[in-house]
Amino acid sequence: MSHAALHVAILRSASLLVPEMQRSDWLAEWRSELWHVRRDPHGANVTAFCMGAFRDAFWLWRDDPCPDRHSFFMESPARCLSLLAALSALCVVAAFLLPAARMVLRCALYPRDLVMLSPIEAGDPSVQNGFLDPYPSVSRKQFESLRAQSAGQFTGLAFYVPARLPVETSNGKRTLSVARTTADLFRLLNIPVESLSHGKEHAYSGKPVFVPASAASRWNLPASLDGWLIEDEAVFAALPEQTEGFVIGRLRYDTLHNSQFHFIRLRERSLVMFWIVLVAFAFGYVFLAFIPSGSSGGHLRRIGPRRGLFLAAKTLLVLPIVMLGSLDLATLRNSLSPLYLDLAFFGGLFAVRWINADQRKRCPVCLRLLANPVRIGEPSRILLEWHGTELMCLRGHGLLYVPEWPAIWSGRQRWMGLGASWGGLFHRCGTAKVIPARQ
Amino acid sequence: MATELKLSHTAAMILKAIDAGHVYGFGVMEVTGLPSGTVYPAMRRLERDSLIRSRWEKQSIADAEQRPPRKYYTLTASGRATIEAAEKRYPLLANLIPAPVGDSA
Repeated sequence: MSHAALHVAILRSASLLVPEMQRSDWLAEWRSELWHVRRDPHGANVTAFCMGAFRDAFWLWRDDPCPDRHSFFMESPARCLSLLAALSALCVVAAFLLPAARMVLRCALYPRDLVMLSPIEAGDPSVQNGFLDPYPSVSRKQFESLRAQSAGQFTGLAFYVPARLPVETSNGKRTLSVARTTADLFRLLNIPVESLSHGKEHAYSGKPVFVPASAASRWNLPASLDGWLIEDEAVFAALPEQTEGFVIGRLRYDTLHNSQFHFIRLRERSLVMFWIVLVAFAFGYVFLAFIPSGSSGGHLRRIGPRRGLFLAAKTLLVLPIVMLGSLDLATLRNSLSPLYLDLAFFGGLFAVRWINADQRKRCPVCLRLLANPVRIGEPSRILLEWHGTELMCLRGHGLLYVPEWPAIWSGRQRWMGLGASWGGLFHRCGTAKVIPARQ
Repeated sequence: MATELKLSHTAAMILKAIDAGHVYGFGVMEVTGLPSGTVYPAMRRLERDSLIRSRWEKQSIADAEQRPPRKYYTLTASGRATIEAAEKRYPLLANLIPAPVGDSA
């Protein structure tokens, strides 16, 4: 891309922020100025000049007193909830269609009795403190001993050995970290072996090595593994006794009576805990929203619980969008990106902010978005901003005053309900006859 | 009343630049040394507050000089009163902004 095209592209990108009514004029001015900047005899920095357009466009976007951003879908509460429900459904469907996302969900649903076992004498402090041991610590001999002594305490036991093996791939021979295991492991994990074949297949000694689309299993099980090699029991029996690996089991009871081994539950705790925290936070938020606050409390009590119910519905519909939407994005490339928790966290923050902002812009009576914002007072000559903005319910239920900055006389936004006597100023269809412009 | 209003130093510089005859954005940038991301939004605010007004140059003039038409800014009466008040507040303002050389709006 040439410099000239790049500069025009920057201006065009910035112009998307400018309100549509002013866009063509704004773009014409910047392009005209660009023409002169390019011919500046002092050699002005043209790119820096163009980047300033973003700040200008952002200011116009923010200053637009009559934003047309209230989309058709958001204005009415029913349409807003329908849109959120549709987005939630889309995220759920995507999570079940994306193989890696589906696998993560399955891992999150691992049964609580699924555990990893480590010998106590290994003495790894990370294991003692309840973290998965990242290194193989159970020898085949110890595994056989465990199986002989405590088989009755488990509904299933499996052993896998990570190894660096030369694997034949479509791009030639490569050395990969492969877990040699028996099919029992996948039965314990509730992962159908046939689902592994969705991934790109490789081979070692003529046997298939699964580099799974379910790369989530790499993430969920200890050891950094590229693939899985399912071996026969006989091959395992032939391994040297000192060969070390990991032992996965499913407890029959809630505890293990074995003086040589301890266990740690395998269910992905961070993900599940994060979801639990998110859901708890959502419920707490909804609960707090039902408690009237400040001077508006009496008014909210009079208008009943509809506003709170709408907030609750909105919050509960946003939850799957955040939880599963971030999971979908993090697993788009067929493996779980480590960005998942970041995406979910920041997505959650953005969602809370949006829920709050949307709720504040709605009429507490009919729950429709307020409209016709009017700037109140003189703009300050120092901060170049206005004192406040007043919005009105198009059905004549009242006016909302939003201060631009806290002042002694108005620190927070106030709702002023209008009585039935004001009804004559509003059309039956819900549009205002008179816009009270006070400046 | 307008004479009592107070401008920030940056806004006063930009207003003074326009008053001095630097009547388009890039000219104001050059004379004030401020970046485009400061000058243009400030001019929008000043225009919103009716201290300056803008007009597009006639297409025929631009065509004659084989360049795109420019948008020019001029002070309103309110803007002139405000800059006079600002010059009392910032006495060195006039020294900071020289008149344009060989430039005609």
